[in-house]
This record gives sequence, C-alpha cells and structure tokens, in this order.
Amino acid sequence: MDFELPEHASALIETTRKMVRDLMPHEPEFQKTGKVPEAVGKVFRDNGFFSLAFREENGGMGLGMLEICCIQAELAHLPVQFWADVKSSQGPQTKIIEDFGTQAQRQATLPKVIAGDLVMAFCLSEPHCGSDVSAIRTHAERSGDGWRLNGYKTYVSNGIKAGQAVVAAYTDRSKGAKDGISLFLVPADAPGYKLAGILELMGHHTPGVAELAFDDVELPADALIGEEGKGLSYVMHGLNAGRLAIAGTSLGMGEMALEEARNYARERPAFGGTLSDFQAVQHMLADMATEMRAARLLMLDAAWRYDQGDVSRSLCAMAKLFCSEAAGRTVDTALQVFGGAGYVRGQRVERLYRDVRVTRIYEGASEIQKNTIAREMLRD
Amino acid sequence: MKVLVPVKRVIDYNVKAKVKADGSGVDLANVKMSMNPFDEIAVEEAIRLKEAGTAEEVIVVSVGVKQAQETLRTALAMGADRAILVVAADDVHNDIEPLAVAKILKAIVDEEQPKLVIAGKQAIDNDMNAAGQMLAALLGWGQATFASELTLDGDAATVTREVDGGLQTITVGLPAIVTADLRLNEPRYASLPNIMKAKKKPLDEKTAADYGVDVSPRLEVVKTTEPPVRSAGIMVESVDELVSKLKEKGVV
Ligand SMILES: Cc1cc2nc3c(=O)[nH]c(=O)nc-3n(C[C@H](O)[C@H](O)[C@H](O)COP(=O)(O)OP(=O)(O)OC[C@H]3O[C@@H](n4cnc5c(N)ncnc54)[C@H](O)[C@@H]3O)c2cc1C
Ligand SMILES: Cc1cc2nc3c(=O)[nH]c(=O)nc-3n(C[C@H](O)[C@H](O)[C@H](O)COP(=O)(O)OP(=O)(O)OC[C@H]3O[C@@H](n4cnc5c(N)ncnc54)[C@H](O)[C@@H]3O)c2cc1C
Repeated sequence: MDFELPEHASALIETTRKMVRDLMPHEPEFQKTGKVPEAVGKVFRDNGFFSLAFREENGGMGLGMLEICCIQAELAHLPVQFWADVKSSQGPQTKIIEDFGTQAQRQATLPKVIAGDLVMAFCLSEPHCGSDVSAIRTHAERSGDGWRLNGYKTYVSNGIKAGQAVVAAYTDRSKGAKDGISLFLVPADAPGYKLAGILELMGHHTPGVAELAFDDVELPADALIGEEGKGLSYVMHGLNAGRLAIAGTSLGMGEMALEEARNYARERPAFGGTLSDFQAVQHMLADMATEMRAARLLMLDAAWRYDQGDVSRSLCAMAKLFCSEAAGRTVDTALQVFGGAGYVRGQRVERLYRDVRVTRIYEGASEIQKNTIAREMLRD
Repeated sequence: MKVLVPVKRVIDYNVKAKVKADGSGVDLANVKMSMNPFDEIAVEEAIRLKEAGTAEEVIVVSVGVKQAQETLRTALAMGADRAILVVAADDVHNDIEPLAVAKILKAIVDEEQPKLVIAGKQAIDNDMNAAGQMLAALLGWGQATFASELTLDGDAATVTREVDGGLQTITVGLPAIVTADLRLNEPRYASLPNIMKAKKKPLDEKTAADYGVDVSPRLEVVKTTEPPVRSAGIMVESVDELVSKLKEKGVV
C-alpha cells in the first residue's frame, strides 16, 4: 500500500502553496479595507484555478476530487473572500450544469466561469427550511412553452454578484421531493429575479450571502436542467463532491491554525521560557496535530475512492463531518494558545475562528451528515 | 535557435537547513526540495525568448538524483519544451561537483547544439558559482555572468551584469553562456493547467556514464557546522546607558 500522492498532485499543491504564500501579505490590507485586492483574482485567473473541476472537453483540467480537495486545503489558508469565486466554480451549481445541462446551457455558462468572468449561484435553502429540502416552497408552473418561477431563496453564496443561478423548485408537489423537484438555470437579468436582501455573516463572505426573490419569472422551456422531476437526485449528486470540498476547506483552516499556534508557542515568552516549554501547551499541539492528520487521511481516502468511481455517500459525509468538527476544535485550541492575542481583530486565528464555524453547518450540517452515515449503516 | 537551461534540485529556500550529526553536510533526508531559485529565473528568461519568437526550443537539463525529474517537470510546466534527466547519484547527499556537471553539460551541448545556455548564477545549496563558468571554458564559448538584463540581436547578446559597485554592459557573440542574477526577471508560477500538460512533455533519462563522465568527487568536505548562535541580548534602562554600553564595546 502506497500513501504517496501522485507526482502531479504534489506539483499542483506545491504551486498553489507558493501562490498562497505570495498572496498572504495582502491579508492585512484586506482586513483593514474589507476589499479583496485585484492581484488576488488575477493570480487565480492566470493560473487556471477556475478550470480545475471541469472536464477537458469542456475546457477544464479534469482534475479529480483528490487534487481538488488538496488544492482547496491550501487555498483555505487565505481569507475566504480571496477564493470564494474560485470555490463557486466548483460548487454543485457548475457540476450540475456540466453533468446534466444541455449543450446550450453548458455553452452559456462554463466558458465564462472558466475565464473567471461569471460567478454562478446555487439556490436551494429557503427561510423556513435548509436541512429539510423537501419543504421548499419555490415552485414552477408551465407557462406557454416554458415555465413561470415563483419563490424566495436565502443564504445564497455569491448571490450578490451571480450572473446565473441554479434554482430548485417544485414542478409537481404531488410527486413529493424525490420526483417532484426540478432545477432551472435562471439568468440574473431575467425580469422578476430580485436581489431581495443581504445577510451579514459572522465571518466568511463579504459583504454576505444573498436573499433572492423570484416573482413570476418567465423562463423558456430550455431553462430546465436535465429531466423534469430529477432535481433532488441532481442535487444529491453534486453534494457528495461539495462535501468533500468542504472537508478540504475546513482541513486547510485547521492546519493553518495549527501552524500558527506552533510558531506562536515557540516564540511567546512565558514564565522564564516560552509557551512551548509547558506540557499543557505541548499536549494541545499534539492533540491538534493528531486530529488534523486523521482528518487529512479521512479526506484523502474518501476523495481517492470517489475518483475511482467508488462514490460513497457515507465516506463523503464522514470526511465532511470529521474534518469540519476537528478543524473547529483545532482552531478553538489554537486561539487558546494565543491567549488574549488570539481574540484580537487582525490576528489570523481570530479570522479562522469566525470562518471555520460555518463549515459545520453548510453543505449539510454535522447532524445531517450523521443521519446519512447512520442511514447507510442501518440500510438492509 | 535552441536554448539550453540547466536546473538543479536544491533544498527549498524556505527550509531551515540542519547539519547532519556527523558534520558531513546538511541533512537532506525528508527535507523539502525545489528548483534552485536562480535556475527558475534562467528558465523564465528562456521561455520569454521563446514567447518573443527569438528561441524555437527550450531544453532543460538536470544532473543529480532521480527525483530531480520533479524539478524538470516544474520547468516543463513553466513552459520548457523537453527535458533531459542525467541520473548521476542515488543519494541526495551526494552532490555532483561543478566540474562534473559542466562536463556532462558540455556533452549535451555538443549533441543538442544550442546557441545559448542560460544557467543560474549559482545554486543556493553550495553557492559554488562555478558550473556556468566551467562550461564556458570547456566549450571555449563566451560568458556573461550575473545577468540582470539580456537582449539578443542576431549573433550577439547584450548583457547587463551586476558587478561589485554597479552595472556593466557587455556584448558577447553567440553561442554563449549567460548566468542569471536575481533581478533578471520575476519567474512565473507553473500554472495548474500547465502542470497537467507537462506530464505529456518528453523527458529523456540518461546516466553520467552515457556521457562518459566520471562524477566521483574531487573535493573533500572537511566539516560542516551550523552558523554560531546569536547570544542573548541585554536590556538597558535608558538611552544614556545604551550609549555608554556601545562606547564600552567600542562600536561608537
Ligand atoms: C455562509 C453560508 C453559505 C450558504 N450558502 C448556500 C448556498 O449557496 N445555497 C444554498 O442553497 N444554501 C446555502 N446555505 C444554507 C445551508 O445549506 C443551510 O444553512 C444548511 O443546510 C442548514 O440549514 P438551516 O440553516 O436551515 O438549518 P436547519 O435545517 O433549520 O437546522 C438547524 C439545526 O438543526 C439540525 N437539524 C435539522 N434537521 C435535523 C434532523 N432531521 N436531525 C437532527 N438534526 C437536525 C441541523 O443540523 C442544525 O444544527 C449557506 C449557509 C451559510 C451559513
Ligand atoms: C477582551 C479582553 C479584555 C482584557 N482586559 C484586561 C484588563 O482589563 N486588564 C488587564 O490587565 N488584562 C486584560 N486582559 C488580558 C488577559 O488577562 C490576558 O489575555 C490573559 O491573562 C492571558 O494572558 P495572555 O493573553 O498574555 O496569554 P499568555 O499568558 O501568553 O498565554 C497563552 C496561552 O498559554 C497558556 N499558558 C500560559 N502559561 C502557561 C503555563 N505555565 N502552563 C500552561 N499553560 C500556560 C495560557 O493558558 C494561554 O492559553 C484582557 C484580555 C482580553 C482578551
């Protein structure tokens, strides 16, 4: 058994690490102004970051989840706002278009996404339901040759500047969620598409996630993605990859916090030595390192199997669950090592503490991951 | 015109080097290795010549352990066309000396007939600053070392050199050897798509014996030691005390 990454994967990680290291000095300016410096987007555009997930025939690099997760773990060292656009190019929205969209839908979106010129949104959650997807109220009726869409979506990442949105809506409520939900590709300039609100967050996105209203949005017949009534299965298909990517995100945040804590403990004078002289602090570092190692291996295993065609809902859920929970503990402990300094704005662990929290919530909260794992265990 | 660029795999410049317990050299076991930064600059310059239409082909060469193929792949991902790996050692601690490297490079130059060799001015591991010059001597070619600017015009290269106390501009006839200094350019990243494409670019594997070069060491490393540790400072109470301490030490 060989635990080494393939050579090209190491090279991809290496080059990403280099870019991240070169972009990190932009962080203080960003912390002050809240604006992402131009240089950041340029590095990602010039170096192919928007093309990772797409297949070669669509102009992408055709990378597997193993590579994508590892690259994501490196990017996650930077403030989320730096790479939020890159992430949206790998989200369920683009994967669904690539795998189930028509040629016309792919052509209208993918080349622009790959060029870094189009950000797409994924609209599933609604004000009264997130985990319980079956409770969505957004719906579409036939209207002439096409569809009329009505509903209200919330927590839409990148929804403020999205040019196109993938929207989940009931097309036949009587068939239930499994066969009654369909997906639509909705351009942001469609009449009736409205940016209805912005939710400011504790961390993560600036300026926040969007609330989108769809009021009698008239859509042509070819706005339907794939087959009518297959929406939920398309969403589930995209979510496995999405969960692996969040495993990468949270892992990267935890690993960064660990590195910061280790460096700080070695330098911070305390009681005639440094913090790292004390066994209490040493044990914190040991626990963090062990958890991060376990998290990384769980992620690599799930991602590698995914790429071999062994797509296991349960393994993807385990990777997401453990990486995000372990990263949460690690970032918390890292902040403890920093003492008061860790609670100060501008300090990297303070930023990580706010940012990592949501990885236990979105793309399926931890409890939902556990439901999935248990359901697979107890099935037949 | 072909351009040949030798690249060396060295300890990464961000790694804090540790001396082996027996003092025989720097410990390289499980240490991150990367392309010598000056060689990255040399590769970048060669690729720019190609992009400008001045060069047709950029060939990169590395002499050392088999793992140097990763370094060559990086150069290919940056934009070089093909690579030659000369396996001359099976242990990373076995550094191939500049003269042996220069002899191997000469044999490759004889075969490939490039009109220009761009090398890094020195490798950051041993700081020998010798392979480029030795290669020029073996070939009987002109050399322009420590380049901070390079312009090609027909059969001549005009090179600005970073010399002690300033800049010197010289012209050398081609074929020639240029060695790159820090300010020659800012090397690009190996972009992600190009890393994948580099997997398919040709990489020839050779051995030192293929070129009839004896790589056994001629130099003897007597001892390697860590730089002296900086001794602890003292705190002073006032500016007056600072000044008097400095006077005591005879530094002001
Ligand atoms: C920053 C951010 C970005 C987001 N981006 C998007 C996006 O782009 N598109 C999108 O559609 N959505 C997005 N979301 C929404 C996200 O997917 C939901 O927040 C998530 O699915 C949880 O849903 P909820 O917030 O409605 O919580 P709820 O479903 O109300 O759950 C609340 C709590 O109860 C638990 N719970 C719920 N049901 C069960 C159960 N059956 N058993 C045990 N426990 C249960 C949950 O685990 C959770 O802890 C985003 C959210 C955030 C915070
Ligand atoms: C919001 C806020 C308000 C504050 N207000 C005040 C105030 O009004 N007045 C004031 O004087 N101070 C104030 N403080 C400072 C606060 O009391 C210190 O932050 C706290 O005592 C910890 O010290 P430190 O931050 O220097 O951490 P450090 O002493 O550097 O400790 C860092 C970490 O190492 C651990 N550690 C340190 N030594 C050991 C050891 N020997 N064994 C094991 N573990 C060890 C600590 O538990 C901690 O987790 C405030 C801090 C904050 C964040």
